[in-house]
Amino acid sequence: MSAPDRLHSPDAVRLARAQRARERIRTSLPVVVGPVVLFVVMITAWQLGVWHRLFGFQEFTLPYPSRIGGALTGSLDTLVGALVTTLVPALLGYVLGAVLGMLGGLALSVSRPTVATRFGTALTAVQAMPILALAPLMSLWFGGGMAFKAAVVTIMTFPGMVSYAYKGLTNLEPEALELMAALNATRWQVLKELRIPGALPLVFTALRGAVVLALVGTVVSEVLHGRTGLGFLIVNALASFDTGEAWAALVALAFLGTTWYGLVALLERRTVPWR
Amino acid sequence: MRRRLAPTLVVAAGALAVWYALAHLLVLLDDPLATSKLPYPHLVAHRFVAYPETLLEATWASLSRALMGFAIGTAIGMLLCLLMLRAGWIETSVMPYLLLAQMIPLIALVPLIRAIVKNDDATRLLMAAFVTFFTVTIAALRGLKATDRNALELMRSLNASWFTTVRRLRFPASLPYLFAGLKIAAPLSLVGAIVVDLMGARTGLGFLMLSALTFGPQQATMLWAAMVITLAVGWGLSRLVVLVERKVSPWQPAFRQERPR
Repeated sequence: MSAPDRLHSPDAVRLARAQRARERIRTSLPVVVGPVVLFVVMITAWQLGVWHRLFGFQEFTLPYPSRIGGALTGSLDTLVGALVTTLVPALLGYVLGAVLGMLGGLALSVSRPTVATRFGTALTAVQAMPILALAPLMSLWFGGGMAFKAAVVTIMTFPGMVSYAYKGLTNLEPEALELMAALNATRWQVLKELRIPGALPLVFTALRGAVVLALVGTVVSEVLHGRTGLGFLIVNALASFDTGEAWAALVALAFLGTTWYGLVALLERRTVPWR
Repeated sequence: MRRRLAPTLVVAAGALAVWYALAHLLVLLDDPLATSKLPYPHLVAHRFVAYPETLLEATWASLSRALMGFAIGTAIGMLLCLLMLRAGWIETSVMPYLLLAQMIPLIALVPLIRAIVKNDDATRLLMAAFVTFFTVTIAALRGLKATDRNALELMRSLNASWFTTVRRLRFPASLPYLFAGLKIAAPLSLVGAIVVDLMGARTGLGFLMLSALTFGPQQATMLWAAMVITLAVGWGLSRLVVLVERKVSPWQPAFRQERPR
Protein backbone atom coordinates (compact mmCIF):
# COMPACT_ATOMS: atom_id res chain seq x y z
CA MET A 1 0.00 0.00 0.00
CA SER A 2 1.40 3.39 -0.93
CA ALA A 3 1.56 6.26 1.53
CA PRO A 4 -1.31 8.39 0.16
CA ASP A 5 -3.59 5.38 0.23
CA ARG A 6 -2.78 4.69 3.81
CA LEU A 7 -3.47 8.27 4.72
CA HIS A 8 -6.92 8.08 3.21
CA SER A 9 -7.86 4.63 4.36
CA PRO A 10 -11.13 4.53 6.32
CA ASP A 11 -9.26 3.50 9.43
CA ALA A 12 -6.95 6.49 9.34
CA VAL A 13 -9.85 8.86 8.80
CA ARG A 14 -11.76 7.34 11.70
CA LEU A 15 -8.69 7.57 13.90
CA ALA A 16 -8.12 11.20 13.03
CA ARG A 17 -11.78 12.02 13.68
CA ALA A 18 -11.71 10.31 17.05
CA GLN A 19 -8.56 12.18 17.96
CA ARG A 20 -10.08 15.50 16.96
CA ALA A 21 -13.20 14.74 18.98
CA ARG A 22 -11.08 13.93 22.03
CA GLU A 23 -9.16 17.15 21.53
CA ARG A 24 -12.40 19.13 21.36
CA ILE A 25 -13.69 17.56 24.57
CA ARG A 26 -10.38 18.20 26.32
CA THR A 27 -10.48 21.91 25.46
CA SER A 28 -14.19 22.46 25.97
CA LEU A 29 -14.60 20.43 29.15
CA PRO A 30 -13.32 23.08 31.59
CA VAL A 31 -15.40 25.70 29.77
CA VAL A 32 -18.54 23.74 30.66
CA VAL A 33 -17.53 22.26 34.00
CA GLY A 34 -16.15 25.48 35.54
CA PRO A 35 -19.32 27.57 35.29
CA VAL A 36 -21.54 24.63 36.32
CA VAL A 37 -19.43 23.92 39.40
CA LEU A 38 -19.43 27.61 40.34
CA PHE A 39 -23.22 27.74 39.95
CA VAL A 40 -23.78 24.63 42.06
CA VAL A 41 -21.41 25.84 44.78
CA MET A 42 -23.00 29.30 44.97
CA ILE A 43 -26.57 28.01 45.05
CA THR A 44 -25.76 25.27 47.56
CA ALA A 45 -24.06 27.78 49.85
CA TRP A 46 -27.12 30.03 49.49
CA GLN A 47 -29.46 27.14 50.31
CA LEU A 48 -27.38 26.12 53.33
CA GLY A 49 -27.54 29.68 54.65
CA VAL A 50 -23.84 30.47 54.26
CA TRP A 51 -24.51 33.93 52.77
CA HIS A 52 -27.21 34.61 55.35
CA ARG A 53 -24.85 33.92 58.23
CA LEU A 54 -21.89 35.64 56.57
CA PHE A 55 -23.66 38.92 55.73
CA GLY A 56 -26.45 38.80 58.29
CA PHE A 57 -29.25 38.49 55.72
CA GLN A 58 -32.64 37.49 57.01
CA GLU A 59 -34.66 34.67 55.54
CA PHE A 60 -37.74 36.80 54.98
CA THR A 61 -35.80 39.43 52.98
CA LEU A 62 -33.55 37.07 51.01
CA PRO A 63 -35.41 33.80 50.43
CA TYR A 64 -33.61 30.49 49.95
CA PRO A 65 -33.36 29.06 46.42
CA SER A 66 -35.81 26.32 47.35
CA ARG A 67 -38.46 28.94 48.11
CA ILE A 68 -37.72 30.83 44.90
CA GLY A 69 -38.02 27.56 43.01
CA GLY A 70 -41.27 26.85 44.80
CA ALA A 71 -42.60 30.29 43.87
CA LEU A 72 -41.52 29.70 40.26
CA THR A 73 -43.62 26.57 39.96
CA GLY A 74 -46.35 27.71 42.35
CA SER A 75 -47.23 30.97 40.60
CA LEU A 76 -46.17 29.99 37.12
CA ASP A 77 -49.39 31.30 35.57
CA THR A 78 -48.98 34.73 37.17
CA LEU A 79 -45.34 34.87 36.08
CA VAL A 80 -46.04 33.90 32.48
CA GLY A 81 -48.86 36.43 32.29
CA ALA A 82 -46.62 39.17 33.71
CA LEU A 83 -43.81 38.14 31.37
CA VAL A 84 -46.03 38.57 28.32
CA THR A 85 -47.29 41.91 29.67
CA THR A 86 -43.69 43.08 30.02
CA LEU A 87 -42.61 41.69 26.68
CA VAL A 88 -45.22 43.43 24.51
CA PRO A 89 -44.33 47.10 25.18
CA ALA A 90 -40.62 46.21 25.39
CA LEU A 91 -40.74 44.56 21.97
CA LEU A 92 -42.86 47.36 20.52
CA GLY A 93 -40.43 50.04 21.70
CA TYR A 94 -37.48 47.92 20.64
CA VAL A 95 -38.74 47.51 17.08
CA LEU A 96 -39.73 51.18 16.90
CA GLY A 97 -36.35 52.32 18.22
CA ALA A 98 -34.52 49.97 15.87
CA VAL A 99 -36.45 51.00 12.75
CA LEU A 100 -36.29 54.72 13.53
CA GLY A 101 -32.63 54.36 14.45
CA MET A 102 -31.75 52.61 11.22
CA LEU A 103 -33.63 55.23 9.22
CA GLY A 104 -31.79 57.94 11.17
CA GLY A 105 -28.46 56.30 10.47
CA LEU A 106 -29.37 56.03 6.80
CA ALA A 107 -30.36 59.70 6.66
CA LEU A 108 -27.08 60.69 8.32
CA SER A 109 -25.05 58.53 5.94
CA VAL A 110 -26.45 60.26 2.87
CA SER A 111 -26.32 63.80 4.27
CA ARG A 112 -23.44 66.22 3.79
CA PRO A 113 -20.29 65.41 5.83
CA THR A 114 -20.44 68.67 7.84
CA VAL A 115 -24.03 67.97 8.85
CA ALA A 116 -23.26 64.35 9.64
CA THR A 117 -20.27 65.32 11.81
CA ARG A 118 -22.33 67.84 13.75
CA PHE A 119 -25.14 65.36 14.38
CA GLY A 120 -22.57 62.70 15.17
CA THR A 121 -21.08 64.87 17.91
CA ALA A 122 -24.51 65.57 19.35
CA LEU A 123 -25.31 61.87 19.18
CA THR A 124 -22.18 60.93 21.12
CA ALA A 125 -23.21 63.39 23.81
CA VAL A 126 -26.74 61.98 23.94
CA GLN A 127 -25.37 58.45 24.22
CA ALA A 128 -23.45 59.46 27.34
CA MET A 129 -26.63 60.71 28.99
CA PRO A 130 -28.84 58.69 31.34
CA ILE A 131 -31.87 58.75 29.06
CA LEU A 132 -33.84 56.73 31.58
CA ALA A 133 -34.21 60.02 33.50
CA LEU A 134 -36.72 61.06 30.82
CA ALA A 135 -39.12 58.31 31.90
CA PRO A 136 -41.19 60.58 34.21
CA LEU A 137 -41.56 63.09 31.38
CA MET A 138 -42.68 60.35 29.01
CA SER A 139 -45.42 59.48 31.50
CA LEU A 140 -46.65 63.08 31.21
CA TRP A 141 -46.68 62.91 27.44
CA PHE A 142 -48.10 59.45 26.95
CA GLY A 143 -50.10 58.71 30.09
CA GLY A 144 -49.39 55.53 31.99
CA GLY A 145 -50.11 52.71 29.56
CA MET A 146 -48.52 50.79 26.78
CA ALA A 147 -47.60 53.88 24.71
CA PHE A 148 -45.69 55.30 27.66
CA LYS A 149 -43.61 52.15 28.20
CA ALA A 150 -42.93 51.72 24.50
CA ALA A 151 -41.92 55.40 24.26
CA VAL A 152 -39.41 55.01 27.10
CA VAL A 153 -37.91 51.97 25.38
CA THR A 154 -37.83 53.75 22.02
CA ILE A 155 -35.91 56.77 23.28
CA MET A 156 -33.51 54.49 25.14
CA THR A 157 -32.69 52.27 22.17
CA PHE A 158 -32.80 54.91 19.44
CA PRO A 159 -29.47 56.78 19.92
CA GLY A 160 -27.30 53.67 19.95
CA MET A 161 -29.11 52.33 16.91
CA VAL A 162 -28.53 55.53 14.91
CA SER A 163 -24.89 55.64 15.85
CA TYR A 164 -24.12 52.01 14.96
CA ALA A 165 -26.16 52.10 11.75
CA TYR A 166 -24.37 55.28 10.67
CA LYS A 167 -20.96 53.82 11.53
CA GLY A 168 -21.76 50.64 9.64
CA LEU A 169 -23.11 52.40 6.56
CA THR A 170 -20.11 54.73 6.24
CA ASN A 171 -17.37 52.32 7.24
CA LEU A 172 -16.42 51.14 3.75
CA GLU A 173 -13.27 50.01 2.08
CA PRO A 174 -12.28 52.71 -0.42
CA GLU A 175 -11.36 50.02 -2.95
CA ALA A 176 -14.88 48.60 -2.86
CA LEU A 177 -16.32 52.07 -3.49
CA GLU A 178 -13.91 52.58 -6.39
CA LEU A 179 -14.91 49.24 -7.86
CA MET A 180 -18.58 50.21 -7.68
CA ALA A 181 -17.75 53.52 -9.37
CA ALA A 182 -15.82 51.69 -12.08
CA LEU A 183 -18.83 49.44 -12.62
CA ASN A 184 -20.91 52.58 -13.05
CA ALA A 185 -23.17 51.61 -10.13
CA THR A 186 -25.96 53.96 -9.10
CA ARG A 187 -26.16 55.31 -5.54
CA TRP A 188 -29.03 52.94 -4.86
CA GLN A 189 -26.98 49.97 -6.05
CA VAL A 190 -24.04 51.02 -3.88
CA LEU A 191 -26.42 51.21 -0.93
CA LYS A 192 -28.05 47.86 -1.62
CA GLU A 193 -25.02 45.83 -2.60
CA LEU A 194 -22.31 47.41 -0.49
CA ARG A 195 -23.41 49.70 2.32
CA ILE A 196 -26.31 47.74 3.82
CA PRO A 197 -24.58 44.33 3.88
CA GLY A 198 -21.50 46.04 5.29
CA ALA A 199 -23.56 47.70 8.02
CA LEU A 200 -25.24 44.50 9.20
CA PRO A 201 -22.59 43.37 11.71
CA LEU A 202 -22.66 46.70 13.56
CA VAL A 203 -26.45 46.90 13.34
CA PHE A 204 -26.65 43.53 15.05
CA THR A 205 -24.21 44.67 17.72
CA ALA A 206 -26.61 47.52 18.45
CA LEU A 207 -29.63 45.20 18.34
CA ARG A 208 -28.02 42.89 20.88
CA GLY A 209 -27.11 45.76 23.18
CA ALA A 210 -30.61 47.20 22.94
CA VAL A 211 -32.27 44.08 24.39
CA VAL A 212 -31.29 44.85 27.96
CA LEU A 213 -32.13 48.54 27.47
CA ALA A 214 -35.63 47.59 26.33
CA LEU A 215 -36.19 45.49 29.43
CA VAL A 216 -34.71 48.11 31.77
CA GLY A 217 -36.94 50.79 30.27
CA THR A 218 -40.06 48.65 30.58
CA VAL A 219 -39.36 47.47 34.12
CA VAL A 220 -38.68 50.99 35.41
CA SER A 221 -41.81 52.25 33.66
CA GLU A 222 -43.85 49.47 35.23
CA VAL A 223 -42.67 50.43 38.68
CA LEU A 224 -43.25 54.14 37.99
CA HIS A 225 -46.73 53.93 36.55
CA GLY A 226 -48.04 50.47 36.15
CA ARG A 227 -50.34 47.90 37.54
CA THR A 228 -48.97 45.02 35.49
CA GLY A 229 -45.83 43.31 34.30
CA LEU A 230 -42.80 41.71 35.93
CA GLY A 231 -41.47 44.99 37.32
CA PHE A 232 -44.75 45.68 39.07
CA LEU A 233 -44.93 42.07 40.21
CA ILE A 234 -41.58 42.42 42.00
CA VAL A 235 -42.67 45.58 43.85
CA ASN A 236 -46.12 44.20 44.57
CA ALA A 237 -44.83 40.88 45.89
CA LEU A 238 -42.37 42.72 48.13
CA ALA A 239 -45.16 44.92 49.45
CA SER A 240 -47.02 41.81 50.57
CA PHE A 241 -43.78 40.27 51.94
CA ASP A 242 -43.85 37.49 49.35
CA THR A 243 -40.12 37.70 48.62
CA GLY A 244 -40.11 34.27 47.02
CA GLU A 245 -42.41 35.49 44.26
CA ALA A 246 -40.43 38.73 43.87
CA TRP A 247 -37.23 36.76 43.26
CA ALA A 248 -39.08 34.37 40.97
CA ALA A 249 -40.12 37.40 38.91
CA LEU A 250 -36.45 38.40 38.69
CA VAL A 251 -35.63 34.90 37.44
CA ALA A 252 -38.39 35.29 34.83
CA LEU A 253 -36.84 38.60 33.75
CA ALA A 254 -33.42 36.95 33.46
CA PHE A 255 -34.98 34.19 31.37
CA LEU A 256 -36.69 36.75 29.14
CA GLY A 257 -33.48 38.76 28.65
CA THR A 258 -31.26 35.81 27.83
CA THR A 259 -33.80 34.20 25.50
CA TRP A 260 -34.40 37.43 23.62
CA TYR A 261 -30.67 38.07 23.34
CA GLY A 262 -30.15 34.50 22.18
CA LEU A 263 -32.79 34.85 19.46
CA VAL A 264 -31.18 38.06 18.19
CA ALA A 265 -27.78 36.34 18.17
CA LEU A 266 -29.31 33.41 16.27
CA LEU A 267 -30.83 35.77 13.72
CA GLU A 268 -27.44 37.43 13.41
CA ARG A 269 -25.75 34.12 12.66
CA ARG A 270 -28.35 33.44 9.98
CA THR A 271 -28.17 36.90 8.42
CA VAL A 272 -24.45 37.58 8.71
CA PRO A 273 -22.87 34.15 8.39
CA TRP A 274 -19.60 35.58 7.06
CA ARG A 275 -18.84 37.28 10.34
CA MET B 1 -11.71 74.64 18.56
CA ARG B 2 -12.54 78.34 18.30
CA ARG B 3 -13.69 77.95 14.73
CA ARG B 4 -16.28 75.45 15.91
CA LEU B 5 -17.70 77.73 18.57
CA ALA B 6 -19.79 79.92 16.24
CA PRO B 7 -21.75 77.12 14.54
CA THR B 8 -22.32 75.46 17.91
CA LEU B 9 -23.80 78.68 19.25
CA VAL B 10 -26.01 78.97 16.18
CA VAL B 11 -27.28 75.41 16.69
CA ALA B 12 -27.91 76.05 20.39
CA ALA B 13 -29.83 79.24 19.59
CA GLY B 14 -31.82 77.37 16.96
CA ALA B 15 -32.68 74.61 19.43
CA LEU B 16 -33.87 77.20 21.96
CA ALA B 17 -36.01 78.86 19.29
CA VAL B 18 -37.59 75.53 18.35
CA TRP B 19 -38.20 74.80 22.04
CA TYR B 20 -39.99 78.16 22.47
CA ALA B 21 -42.01 77.63 19.32
CA LEU B 22 -43.12 74.14 20.33
CA ALA B 23 -43.93 75.25 23.87
CA HIS B 24 -46.01 78.10 22.47
CA LEU B 25 -47.74 75.71 20.10
CA LEU B 26 -48.79 73.54 23.06
CA VAL B 27 -50.23 76.62 24.78
CA LEU B 28 -52.09 77.59 21.61
CA LEU B 29 -53.50 74.08 21.35
CA ASP B 30 -55.01 74.58 24.82
CA ASP B 31 -53.25 71.53 26.20
CA PRO B 32 -54.08 71.53 29.92
CA LEU B 33 -50.65 70.04 30.67
CA ALA B 34 -48.76 72.45 28.39
CA THR B 35 -46.64 73.86 31.22
CA SER B 36 -45.66 70.33 32.30
CA LYS B 37 -45.15 68.67 28.94
CA LEU B 38 -42.93 71.39 27.56
CA PRO B 39 -42.54 74.52 29.71
CA TYR B 40 -40.82 77.61 28.35
CA PRO B 41 -37.04 77.39 28.78
CA HIS B 42 -36.84 80.51 30.93
CA LEU B 43 -39.31 78.99 33.40
CA VAL B 44 -37.03 75.95 33.76
CA ALA B 45 -34.02 78.21 34.14
CA HIS B 46 -35.89 80.13 36.83
CA ARG B 47 -36.11 76.94 38.90
CA PHE B 48 -32.34 76.73 39.05
CA VAL B 49 -32.17 80.28 40.38
CA ALA B 50 -35.13 79.97 42.73
CA TYR B 51 -34.33 76.61 44.35
CA PRO B 52 -30.58 76.08 44.11
CA GLU B 53 -30.38 74.37 47.51
CA THR B 54 -33.09 71.80 46.85
CA LEU B 55 -31.54 70.89 43.53
CA LEU B 56 -28.01 70.75 44.90
CA GLU B 57 -29.07 68.60 47.81
CA ALA B 58 -30.91 66.15 45.55
CA THR B 59 -28.01 66.04 43.09
CA TRP B 60 -25.58 65.32 45.88
CA ALA B 61 -27.78 62.57 47.33
CA SER B 62 -27.76 60.72 44.01
CA LEU B 63 -24.33 61.68 42.70
CA SER B 64 -22.29 61.00 45.84
CA ARG B 65 -23.49 57.40 46.10
CA ALA B 66 -23.13 56.94 42.35
CA LEU B 67 -19.50 58.06 42.52
CA MET B 68 -18.71 55.88 45.53
CA GLY B 69 -20.35 52.91 43.87
CA PHE B 70 -18.47 53.66 40.66
CA ALA B 71 -15.14 53.64 42.52
CA ILE B 72 -15.94 50.47 44.45
CA GLY B 73 -17.27 48.65 41.39
CA THR B 74 -14.18 49.61 39.40
CA ALA B 75 -11.81 48.48 42.16
CA ILE B 76 -13.52 45.11 42.61
CA GLY B 77 -13.69 44.65 38.85
CA MET B 78 -9.98 45.30 38.44
CA LEU B 79 -9.12 42.89 41.25
CA LEU B 80 -11.25 40.18 39.71
CA CYS B 81 -9.56 40.85 36.36
CA LEU B 82 -6.15 40.24 37.87
CA LEU B 83 -7.41 37.00 39.42
CA MET B 84 -8.87 35.89 36.11
CA LEU B 85 -5.63 36.76 34.33
CA ARG B 86 -3.60 34.83 36.88
CA ALA B 87 -5.76 31.70 36.93
CA GLY B 88 -7.46 30.52 33.77
CA TRP B 89 -9.95 28.33 35.63
CA ILE B 90 -11.35 31.37 37.43
CA GLU B 91 -11.86 33.08 34.08
CA THR B 92 -13.62 30.12 32.46
CA SER B 93 -15.88 29.75 35.52
CA VAL B 94 -16.80 33.42 36.01
CA MET B 95 -16.80 34.83 32.48
CA PRO B 96 -20.10 33.26 31.31
CA TYR B 97 -21.89 34.90 34.22
CA LEU B 98 -20.33 38.29 33.49
CA LEU B 99 -21.58 38.02 29.91
CA LEU B 100 -24.96 36.73 31.04
CA ALA B 101 -25.38 39.69 33.38
CA GLN B 102 -25.29 41.99 30.36
CA MET B 103 -28.49 40.44 29.03
CA ILE B 104 -30.40 40.80 32.28
CA PRO B 105 -32.04 44.04 33.45
CA LEU B 106 -30.09 44.28 36.72
CA ILE B 107 -32.06 47.41 37.58
CA ALA B 108 -34.86 45.09 38.66
CA LEU B 109 -32.66 44.21 41.64
CA VAL B 110 -33.31 47.66 43.13
CA PRO B 111 -36.47 46.78 45.09
CA LEU B 112 -35.00 43.42 46.13
CA ILE B 113 -31.76 44.96 47.43
CA ARG B 114 -33.75 47.71 49.12
CA ALA B 115 -35.80 45.10 50.94
CA ILE B 116 -32.59 43.46 52.19
CA VAL B 117 -30.47 46.44 53.27
CA LYS B 118 -33.43 48.71 54.18
CA ASN B 119 -31.39 51.82 53.40
CA ASP B 120 -31.70 54.06 50.35
CA ASP B 121 -28.12 55.30 50.36
CA ALA B 122 -26.71 51.79 50.65
CA THR B 123 -29.00 50.59 47.85
CA ARG B 124 -27.83 53.41 45.58
CA LEU B 125 -24.23 52.60 46.32
CA LEU B 126 -24.69 48.88 45.77
CA MET B 127 -26.59 49.39 42.53
CA ALA B 128 -24.02 51.83 41.15
CA ALA B 129 -21.19 49.48 42.13
CA PHE B 130 -22.98 46.50 40.63
CA VAL B 131 -23.64 48.13 37.27
CA THR B 132 -20.11 49.53 37.10
CA PHE B 133 -18.54 46.21 38.06
CA PHE B 134 -19.91 44.24 35.12
CA THR B 135 -19.09 46.83 32.48
CA VAL B 136 -15.60 47.54 33.78
CA THR B 137 -14.59 43.92 34.38
CA ILE B 138 -15.41 42.80 30.86
CA ALA B 139 -13.72 45.81 29.28
CA ALA B 140 -10.61 45.59 31.46
CA LEU B 141 -10.15 41.85 30.93
CA ARG B 142 -10.45 42.28 27.19
CA GLY B 143 -7.76 44.97 27.41
CA LEU B 144 -5.44 42.90 29.61
CA LYS B 145 -5.62 40.04 27.13
CA ALA B 146 -5.12 42.19 24.04
CA THR B 147 -1.41 42.69 24.73
CA ASP B 148 0.94 42.54 21.78
CA ARG B 149 2.44 39.04 21.48
CA ASN B 150 5.91 40.26 20.60
CA ALA B 151 6.01 42.53 23.62
CA LEU B 152 4.97 39.63 25.84
CA GLU B 153 7.74 37.49 24.40
CA LEU B 154 10.21 40.26 25.05
CA MET B 155 9.12 40.40 28.70
CA ARG B 156 9.54 36.65 28.95
CA SER B 157 13.01 36.80 27.44
CA LEU B 158 13.87 39.48 30.01
CA ASN B 159 12.75 37.01 32.68
CA ALA B 160 10.18 39.52 33.96
CA SER B 161 7.91 38.22 36.69
CA TRP B 162 4.14 37.90 36.20
CA PHE B 163 3.54 40.97 38.31
CA THR B 164 6.14 43.04 36.46
CA THR B 165 4.66 42.00 33.13
CA VAL B 166 1.23 43.13 34.28
CA ARG B 167 2.48 46.39 35.72
CA ARG B 168 4.83 47.41 32.93
CA LEU B 169 3.11 45.92 29.89
CA ARG B 170 -0.35 44.44 30.21
CA PHE B 171 -1.90 47.16 32.35
CA PRO B 172 -0.66 50.18 30.34
CA ALA B 173 -1.65 48.40 27.13
CA SER B 174 -5.14 47.72 28.50
CA LEU B 175 -5.89 51.37 29.31
CA PRO B 176 -7.81 52.19 26.10
CA TYR B 177 -10.15 49.25 26.75
CA LEU B 178 -10.47 50.07 30.43
CA PHE B 179 -11.35 53.69 29.74
CA ALA B 180 -13.84 52.69 27.05
CA GLY B 181 -15.57 50.64 29.75
CA LEU B 182 -15.34 53.42 32.34
CA LYS B 183 -16.81 55.89 29.86
CA ILE B 184 -19.91 53.71 29.53
CA ALA B 185 -20.05 52.82 33.22
CA ALA B 186 -19.89 56.40 34.55
CA PRO B 187 -23.38 57.48 33.39
CA LEU B 188 -24.67 53.98 34.14
CA SER B 189 -23.65 54.33 37.78
CA LEU B 190 -25.75 57.49 37.94
CA VAL B 191 -28.65 55.60 36.36
CA GLY B 192 -28.26 52.95 39.02
CA ALA B 193 -28.56 55.60 41.74
CA ILE B 194 -31.44 57.47 40.07
CA VAL B 195 -33.52 54.34 39.64
CA VAL B 196 -33.39 53.84 43.40
CA ASP B 197 -34.94 57.32 43.72
CA LEU B 198 -37.52 56.53 41.04
CA MET B 199 -38.44 53.29 42.78
CA GLY B 200 -39.36 54.80 46.10
CA ALA B 201 -36.45 56.52 47.86
CA ARG B 202 -37.24 59.72 49.74
CA THR B 203 -34.33 61.82 48.44
CA GLY B 204 -32.34 62.34 45.28
CA LEU B 205 -32.95 63.63 41.77
CA GLY B 206 -35.37 60.84 40.87
CA PHE B 207 -37.49 61.56 43.95
CA LEU B 208 -37.53 65.24 43.00
CA MET B 209 -38.88 64.32 39.56
CA LEU B 210 -41.57 62.06 40.97
CA SER B 211 -42.73 64.52 43.61
CA ALA B 212 -42.84 67.26 40.96
CA LEU B 213 -45.09 64.96 38.94
CA THR B 214 -47.51 64.37 41.79
CA PHE B 215 -47.76 68.07 42.67
CA GLY B 216 -49.11 68.87 39.21
CA PRO B 217 -48.38 71.59 36.64
CA GLN B 218 -47.35 74.15 39.27
CA GLN B 219 -44.27 72.14 40.12
CA ALA B 220 -43.63 70.64 36.69
CA THR B 221 -40.66 72.86 35.97
CA MET B 222 -38.95 71.16 38.92
CA LEU B 223 -39.23 67.88 37.01
CA TRP B 224 -37.56 69.55 34.07
CA ALA B 225 -34.81 71.07 36.19
CA ALA B 226 -34.04 67.71 37.83
CA MET B 227 -34.10 66.04 34.44
CA VAL B 228 -31.72 68.56 32.89
CA ILE B 229 -29.35 68.13 35.82
CA THR B 230 -29.42 64.33 35.54
CA LEU B 231 -28.69 64.37 31.81
CA ALA B 232 -25.96 66.98 32.22
CA VAL B 233 -24.29 65.22 35.15
CA GLY B 234 -24.34 61.86 33.35
CA TRP B 235 -22.77 63.43 30.29
CA GLY B 236 -20.30 65.32 32.48
CA LEU B 237 -19.16 62.12 34.19
CA SER B 238 -18.50 60.51 30.84
CA ARG B 239 -16.56 63.59 29.67
CA LEU B 240 -14.59 63.53 32.90
CA VAL B 241 -13.48 59.97 32.13
CA VAL B 242 -12.30 61.12 28.69
CA LEU B 243 -10.34 63.99 30.24
CA VAL B 244 -8.69 61.67 32.76
CA GLU B 245 -7.88 59.26 29.97
CA ARG B 246 -6.13 62.01 28.04
CA LYS B 247 -4.02 62.81 31.09
CA VAL B 248 -3.25 59.18 31.92
CA SER B 249 -2.64 57.74 28.45
CA PRO B 250 -1.84 60.58 26.04
CA TRP B 251 -0.10 58.16 23.67
CA GLN B 252 -3.41 56.80 22.42
CA PRO B 253 -3.76 57.10 18.64
CA ALA B 254 -7.32 58.35 18.98
CA PHE B 255 -6.01 61.51 20.63
CA ARG B 256 -3.07 61.90 18.29
CA GLN B 257 -5.22 61.91 15.20
CA GLU B 258 -7.49 64.61 16.50
CA ARG B 259 -7.29 67.52 14.10
CA PRO B 260 -9.86 69.90 12.63
CA ARG B 261 -11.49 68.59 9.52
